[in-house]
Amino acid sequence: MQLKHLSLRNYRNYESLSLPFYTGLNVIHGRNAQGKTNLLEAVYLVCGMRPFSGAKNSELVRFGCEASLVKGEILSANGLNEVHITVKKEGRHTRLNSKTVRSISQHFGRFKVVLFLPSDIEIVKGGLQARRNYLDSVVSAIHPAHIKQLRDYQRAVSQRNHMLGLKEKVSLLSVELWDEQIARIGADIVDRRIEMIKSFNRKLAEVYGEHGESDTSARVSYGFSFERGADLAEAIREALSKNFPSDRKRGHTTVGPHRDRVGFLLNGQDASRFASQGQSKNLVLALKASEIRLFKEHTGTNPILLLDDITSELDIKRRSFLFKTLSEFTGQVFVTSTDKNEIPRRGEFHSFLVDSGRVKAGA
Amino acid sequence: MQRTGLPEPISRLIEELSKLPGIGEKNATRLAFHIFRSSEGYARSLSSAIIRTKSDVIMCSTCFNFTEKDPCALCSDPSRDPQVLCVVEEPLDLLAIERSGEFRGQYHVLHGVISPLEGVGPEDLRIKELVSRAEREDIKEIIIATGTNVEGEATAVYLSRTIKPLGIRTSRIAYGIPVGGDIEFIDELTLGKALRDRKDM
Repeated sequence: MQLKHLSLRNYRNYESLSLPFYTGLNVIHGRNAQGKTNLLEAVYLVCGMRPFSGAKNSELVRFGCEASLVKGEILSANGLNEVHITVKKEGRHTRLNSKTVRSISQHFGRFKVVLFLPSDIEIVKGGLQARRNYLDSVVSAIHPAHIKQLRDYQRAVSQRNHMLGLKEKVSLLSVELWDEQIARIGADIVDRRIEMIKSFNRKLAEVYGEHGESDTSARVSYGFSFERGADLAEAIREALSKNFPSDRKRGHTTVGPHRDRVGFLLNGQDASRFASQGQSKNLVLALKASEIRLFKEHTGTNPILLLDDITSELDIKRRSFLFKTLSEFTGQVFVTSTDKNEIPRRGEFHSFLVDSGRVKAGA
Repeated sequence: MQRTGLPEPISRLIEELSKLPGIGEKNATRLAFHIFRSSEGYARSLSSAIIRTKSDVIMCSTCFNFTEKDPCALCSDPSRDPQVLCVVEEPLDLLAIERSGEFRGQYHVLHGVISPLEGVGPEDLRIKELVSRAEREDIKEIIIATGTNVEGEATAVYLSRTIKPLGIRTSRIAYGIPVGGDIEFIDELTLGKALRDRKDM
């Protein structure tokens, strides 16, 4: 997979931009606050058809403008694709090969990007929700059905919670019909998560082993919020019915896959509590490296790798881990950095100098 | 909205038409002008057709499908098997099943699905009536043909738990691959379900 060309109009701090990109390494460099990350975000948007999480449409449109246009040409297994995105305050309009895209989630993983932001350390250090979401996003990129089932699952939980929250007396049956849905869909979700964790752990062992950090072992762990039985759906159903009285008091559902705990163990210890800043960053990097390998194993293609300002906060030893990961990767990479010379030149290397919303290729 | 240069009646018609689902203002304008240019006879027949959908259509007191006379044509058809009932969400679902020509029993229309978030409980649907029908008539099987989304499935669970205790066979329509469909283009959820519910040959 490769982004061949990107054009922007009135996007963030870019008035107008048209750039070719290359296989191998694309280094976006320049001083701080010139628009390096904005450019990376545009790459992410045009491939993934959605902006960085938490970014509002109104923030994507250049100050004082009505709309921004983002256009990309992406080469994938099925040939050259054109993605057009018009961003307005009220919403985004996306076209793939001139056809309007109604459901972004249907295209999730089509042009897969693996993104590494400094804030991704939250995957390790942040809350349970962040870790669950991360795992689910990796599963979704490989199994599109997961996205739909997560949505259906959430819907069933909301329906059950609504019943639990009612002041008047509710019949057991009127809650159990949602238990049934939660159990049925939840079992599929947990199944896929556990399968994914197994593959993840194999890849993590490879990644850590290959980088001479075999003294460190990293694993993903899964903690059930319910008592696990041979039949997952049955186990969820039982847990829900056992917890009905207490759930009724609290007004929400306290067991099920939405309460399961995804954790990372570094040398057998809970990374969210014991890992240092540097260790956590490395772990995130190893996760992303594993993600790339998993995606390639399942689909036969390399995702596009985006790395934002990753060398900051990494000491020399950990940088070598990063650069080794980079040099092994045969797909297209976008990296932002304040100093292009800190990125080791291996293979194809193209640099782009960003200076207050203008980009000079080859500089 | 008053449109300059447009007589009020046409402007009004555009307004009304654009309230219809799937009709934008441009389309509404096109339709309004078409009606304006047509004969007066057409305009009268169109407006009476619209009025009659409200004045002449009632609900069948047996199956709750829309009908002109009660009981409806399907319920009073002696060639249909009164011992098998097919339960659907909406009249349109009934039409779809009728088109298949596969079903020769009778119907029961729920007029919705259970969805607490939308304030719809079992008591808001024609479930009470279904149960009393099941108790009153000699019914051997009830086929549940609600949708396959979360609410449709939950409603199916509710129905089966309510009907089974009456000693009536309760079944759910099967999920599967569309006839004539290529396996490679079928989404993994449907395909997974079709594999799990496979049949002996």
